[in-house]
Amino acid sequence: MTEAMIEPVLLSLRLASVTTLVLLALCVPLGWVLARAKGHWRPFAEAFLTLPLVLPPTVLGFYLLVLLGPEGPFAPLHLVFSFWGLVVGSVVFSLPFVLRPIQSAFEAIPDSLLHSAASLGAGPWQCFTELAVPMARRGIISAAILGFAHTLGEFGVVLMIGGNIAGKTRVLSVAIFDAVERLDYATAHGLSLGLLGFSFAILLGLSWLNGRAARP
Amino acid sequence: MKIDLTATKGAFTLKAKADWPDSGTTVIAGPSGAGKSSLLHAILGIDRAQGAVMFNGDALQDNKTFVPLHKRRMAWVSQHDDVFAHQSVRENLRFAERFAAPGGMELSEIAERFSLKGVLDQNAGTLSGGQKQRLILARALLSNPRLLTLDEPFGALDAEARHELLGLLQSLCVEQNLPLLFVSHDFDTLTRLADHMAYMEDGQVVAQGGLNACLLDTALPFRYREDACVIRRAKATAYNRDHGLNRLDLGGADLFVPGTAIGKGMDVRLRLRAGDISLSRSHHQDSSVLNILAVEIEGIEHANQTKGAGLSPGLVNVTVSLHGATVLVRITEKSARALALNAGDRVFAQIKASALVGG
Repeated sequence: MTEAMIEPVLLSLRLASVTTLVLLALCVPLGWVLARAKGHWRPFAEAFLTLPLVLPPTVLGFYLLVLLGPEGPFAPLHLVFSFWGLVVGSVVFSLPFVLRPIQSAFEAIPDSLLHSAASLGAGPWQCFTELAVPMARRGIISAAILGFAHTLGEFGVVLMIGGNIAGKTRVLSVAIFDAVERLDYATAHGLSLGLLGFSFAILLGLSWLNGRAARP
Repeated sequence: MKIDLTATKGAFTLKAKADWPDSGTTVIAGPSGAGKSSLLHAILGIDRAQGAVMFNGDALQDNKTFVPLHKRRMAWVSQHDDVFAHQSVRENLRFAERFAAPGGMELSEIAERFSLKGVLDQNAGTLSGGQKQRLILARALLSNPRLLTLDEPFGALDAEARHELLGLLQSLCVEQNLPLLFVSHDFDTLTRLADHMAYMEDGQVVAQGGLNACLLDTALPFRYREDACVIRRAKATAYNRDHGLNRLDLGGADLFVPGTAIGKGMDVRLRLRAGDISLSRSHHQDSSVLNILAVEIEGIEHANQTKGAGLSPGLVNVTVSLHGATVLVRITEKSARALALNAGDRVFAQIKASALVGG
């Protein structure tokens, strides 16, 4: 494998790891709040947070570019065409994939169990950290795996706000596109096959994890 | 406990006002759909209702305060299987112990009483149904609550296991001086446990008072049940080993109950079923019935005097005074006429059987 091939791979792995960590930090509390919420705002919040699932990545990327770009409100952060800009884009893009399984896992915990714990004297924080999170752990792990795999494979958003800067924003998918454009099929094959194998391994692991959870 | 709560949930309206003693065991009874569980949820603060809850002189809820569930010190045993399945039995118990106010029972003592010693390190999710119920109850007691609340306790267990657990619960509550509030529509459970009753219909508390007053209330369904009964407290005075008979003092009258020996001086709960008692004008010496006691008739209620789900035709409810305590007797209209029973008459009550239902 050449340096030009390794660099995008490492960048993609770094991006996916950071994005997954940010998403976990975001979605575990958010999923908990949504799972327990009873207010009328909940459907609106859910619909809004699910938008990245249905919108074309280019639309997302375009809006992010407008927000983060030199004319946008977040211009001073200089996020466009930078690694952290990619992180922001990936977080938005992969959010529903991580939030959904976490929220479902929290929703599966019966209200009566949490009320029982509270009646023993456990406050909301203890119920969350000592009961809800450990009980939802399988859902959280699946969510992290899905988020990681999904970020590895993203293309549209990354291209829109990151561009194609070697070593900085040229991630795996962009590198493959780049190689194909240059008619460098050997590189494209190598990277694509690697991504295919890796994604399959991840999904296999996920299915094994879920299979184990389903068994009594 | 003093409550005045209102809440609306869809088509159902809870509008409950009641006042029962802070100590002892209180049952919230009533037909299904009457709002018993809703009232319990409102009392605990699980579902927020409008109004006030006072317990032991503290306002848990009024127009200024709302004490959240985790600060009320009112342990709740729901109808569901609420073990923390990701933890061991010991961890489940430790969880409750951590939040307990000082002065409660020890973990090892509770585990012993609830026969959980052997499974302490087992995963709680792998316990049997009965073990889970014991764990949930043990956990609730270990949190050292000011009030223990139960919703249809142990409804999922078979009768024998339920009686055993109710007996254990009862003795622990007496030992710990722990007041109990529970919801039940099961007649057997409520007669075993309750001292007081709040009876609900359509989201309202329509009657409340001492257990026997409610069991005898002509406005409530209990005295018209086929298994109508009253619960009397008696004291064990002697045991005859040859006959296997306990002698009990029931307000001055001697009553013999077969079974294993009860410790002398022990206070027991005695269930006297109306259908297990008959009346006669004379004291039969040649009867197989052990307990023949002189009583005075307080009142007679004929089937045609009862409305709705009252007595079946041909049956009569006779209330008699046994040394000042009212006991219900169920006989036929035919017998009542043949004996020409009238209020104030002194007759003999033959108690064919009576059941001890806990200490």
